[in-house]
Amino acid sequence: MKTSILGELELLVLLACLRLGSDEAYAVSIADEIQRHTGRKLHRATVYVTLQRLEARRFVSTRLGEPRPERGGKARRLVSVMPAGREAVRRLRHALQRMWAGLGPALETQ
Amino acid sequence: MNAPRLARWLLRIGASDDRLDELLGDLEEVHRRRQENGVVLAGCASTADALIVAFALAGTRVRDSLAHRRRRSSWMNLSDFKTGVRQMGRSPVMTVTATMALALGIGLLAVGAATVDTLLFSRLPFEGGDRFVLVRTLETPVQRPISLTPEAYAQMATGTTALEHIGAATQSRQNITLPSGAVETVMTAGITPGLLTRLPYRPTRGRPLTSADAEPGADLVLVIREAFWLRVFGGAEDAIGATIEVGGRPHTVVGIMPNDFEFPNSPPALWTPIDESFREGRVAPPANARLIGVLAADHSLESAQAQLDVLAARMTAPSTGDRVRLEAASMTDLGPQAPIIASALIATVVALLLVVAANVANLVLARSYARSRELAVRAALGASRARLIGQMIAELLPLCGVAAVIGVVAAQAIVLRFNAIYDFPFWVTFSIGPRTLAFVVCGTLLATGVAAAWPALRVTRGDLGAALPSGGRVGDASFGRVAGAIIVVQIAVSVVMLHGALIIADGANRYLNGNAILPQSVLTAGVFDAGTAADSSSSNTARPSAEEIEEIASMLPGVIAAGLSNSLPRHSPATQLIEIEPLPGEAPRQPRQAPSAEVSPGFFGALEGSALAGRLLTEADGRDGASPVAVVNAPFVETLLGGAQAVGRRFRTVDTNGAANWREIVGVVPDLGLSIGDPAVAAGYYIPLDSGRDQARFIYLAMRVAGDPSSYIDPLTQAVYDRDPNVVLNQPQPLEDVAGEDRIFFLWFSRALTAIGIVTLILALAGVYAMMALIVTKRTREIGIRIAIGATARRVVQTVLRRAALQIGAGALLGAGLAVLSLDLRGVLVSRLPDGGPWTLPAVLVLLTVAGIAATAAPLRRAVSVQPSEAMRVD
Repeated sequence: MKTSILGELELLVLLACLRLGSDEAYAVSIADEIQRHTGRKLHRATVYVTLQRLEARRFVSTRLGEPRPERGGKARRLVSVMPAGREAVRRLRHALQRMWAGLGPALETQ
Repeated sequence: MNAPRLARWLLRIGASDDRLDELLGDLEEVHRRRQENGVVLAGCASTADALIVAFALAGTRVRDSLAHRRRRSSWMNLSDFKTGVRQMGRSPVMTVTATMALALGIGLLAVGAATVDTLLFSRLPFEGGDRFVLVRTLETPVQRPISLTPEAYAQMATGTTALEHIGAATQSRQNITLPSGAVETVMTAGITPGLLTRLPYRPTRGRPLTSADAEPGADLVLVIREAFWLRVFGGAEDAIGATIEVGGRPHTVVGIMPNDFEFPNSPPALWTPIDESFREGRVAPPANARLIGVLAADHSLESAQAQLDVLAARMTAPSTGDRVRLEAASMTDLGPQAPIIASALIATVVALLLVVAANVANLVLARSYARSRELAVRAALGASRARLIGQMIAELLPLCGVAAVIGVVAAQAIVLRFNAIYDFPFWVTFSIGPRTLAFVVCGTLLATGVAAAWPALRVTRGDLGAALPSGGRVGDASFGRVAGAIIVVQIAVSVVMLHGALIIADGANRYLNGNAILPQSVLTAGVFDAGTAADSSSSNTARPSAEEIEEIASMLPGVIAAGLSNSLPRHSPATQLIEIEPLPGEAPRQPRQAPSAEVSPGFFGALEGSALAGRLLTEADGRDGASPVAVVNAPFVETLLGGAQAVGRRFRTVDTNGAANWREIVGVVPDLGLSIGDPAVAAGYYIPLDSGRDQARFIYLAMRVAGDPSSYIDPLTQAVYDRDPNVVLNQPQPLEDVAGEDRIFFLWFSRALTAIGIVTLILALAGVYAMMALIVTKRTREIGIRIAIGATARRVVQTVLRRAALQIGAGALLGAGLAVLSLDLRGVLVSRLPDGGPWTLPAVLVLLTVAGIAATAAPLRRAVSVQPSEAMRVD
């Protein structure tokens, strides 16, 4: 089904959200988390747009957190992964695992 | 230190208000981190950062906004189609009427398009078929087909590089004798073996015809078609080597050609070889042969024509010395007039469809007015005019789709009948093809556009939103002059059509069952000389005259009488102007039209016609030098002589060349169906068959027999064949079957006119109904006031009915006038059909009146039952 297909960015953002948990996942931390684990530096604008897309697809939901002084008294928009998002990630993982199965030696030789 | 003001300003521009706080918070957090990490020009970095975020978010907002607007402002969407389907069920009368009308229009469009597509674009149904071209030899400037000298044919065969081969083919009906001894008349063809080898067909059994077979003096051979092989030989392998006599000359079967080989025209039963030596200039090809060229590779029809022009410039017509034109044309080419006729046909059917669509537009307009409140609400909610028009078009599409399916299915049934009615060339097969379907789809969309767009434009005219407070009456939903004129024209057309249908049906009925009393057991057949049309060499014996064939027929066991005529009952020969010699003291009579037939003396006996007075024609009457005599029929005596004594009176024909010699009436016979069924021209006369006539003339044999006339076809064919194998009897059939094609034509013509007339009438009356309903709805308040102040029901009816009555009356008057005029025009199409009875026009007008009352009854009832108290509440 087309709506369950995740792009690379969407997958990375979802995984970051899952790793951070619903109380710590917001745009800045998501970008940091992805950079920390993949070395890939995503611009915050990219994360915003990706989150908007995921929210439109009901893969994530957002809520405003508490105002924080280090943010000039502004709140964070915290991201929670919805069951549909988890399912999409799970499916993609299985699909990738099946695709990777047996490819180890071939990748090694190259 | 906070993020730069510019960065915050940029975010305010790019982000939506509801997200601005969190974005500013993220900006502040990242900016603070940069400062903590000692990033150089952290403010610039944060500003650039904010710019990117602002751009990205603004981009998504614009994209979402555009998508939303596109969804909202779409001028047509799926729900409109669903509404259209529901509308079909809500107003079944309108749905059925409009569907029938559109199906008729689209069906006619499909028939017209399929006819044009088939006739103009059919190609020889095999690969490389376009390479086969017809080569005509014409004498200029009259463009008459001529035969050239053998040398000229040799020049054509060898002098054109654009044509790699020139062969010849013939086709004709011939008598054949089967191995069983039975004689049949079948379609035969001749073909040069060189041409046969270039066609992509090979025998399924045996061998093809070869050049050696076509050499003079070679054994006579032929190949037969598979269907003929199965019918005659039952599929037996020993058919190869069997002998079949063609034109009395035994030919050996050497091959069996597949059924899909139908060259050169209609499917022949067998093919004989044509001598190819005309290619060397030794002989001329058979007189009835068509020259067929094969285009060489890399050459076109135009280059072949250019080479033929060069050759023709060096030739002259053998008999007249005039110039010669050699013309190359596609085998499937119908001539230069075909595209013009096709264009006229297409223009006609498109015009008809537009007329039908205009009719349906009337119905849609009335329905739209009833929905005016809904349209006003939609307009008030922000629907644009384009959206409302799109909605109305989309709502009509399902109805048009159903009509298109019905029309195409009906058209397919009709065009398939074309194939059965007439023996078209093998490359012509009528059907609804992809091109026709595409044309029909375009036509359907056009009809939908006309039927929906016009009322939509009228209904949505003006300030839609402002109309809502006043009860939702939007636009100018009234029947204008154009709509009124359309209704009048429709009624007139329906009167003409229905009158025509009745005339045709009545006339055809009398044509088929006229007053003439004809014997049942009469076999008829046409006689012509096959020798001039056959490709085989002719018999050495002299051709039998028609009189000999009459004698052969009369000698057959069971034959009571046989005779000849140039016209049979139901052939309705052309009339001639005759002048009757006045009696002494009598004023000269006005010349009158009367049909005539040339007959042999035995003809009256064959039709069981005895002399009511005087005598019948004799052999002596037909001899050269005999004084001109005639036998007239009973209607002649009644109509032209007022029932007076006929024998001894004289008459003569009168034409532009003057008057002929007087002809004496020697006898009177009953009405033998000279112009059967038409009292106006039933009065006719018979004169002796001209014994010095041209042999090529077509003569009909009639023989009265004991028993079933069909059982005499084989004995007659055999007897004539025994006398001369080359004489072919054309269409032997019982007298009651003569002119069967005319019956089918009249039957279908009458049905078509009836269908068109009824549909047109229904459309016109639906328009009247719609107009009346609209008038009553719009004037409900006024009617209520009139009733309140004392208007009677009669007065209300007069008020409401005036316009409808005027339109119906005007349409009836116009239609009646056109119907009377069309009686004269009818002769152009169906000259042999007699006039209908005097009751036809009044009958149509009575039908129109009844239908008009039915159409106006419901709105009138509603008008007279308006309650003043309720009417006051109507805006």
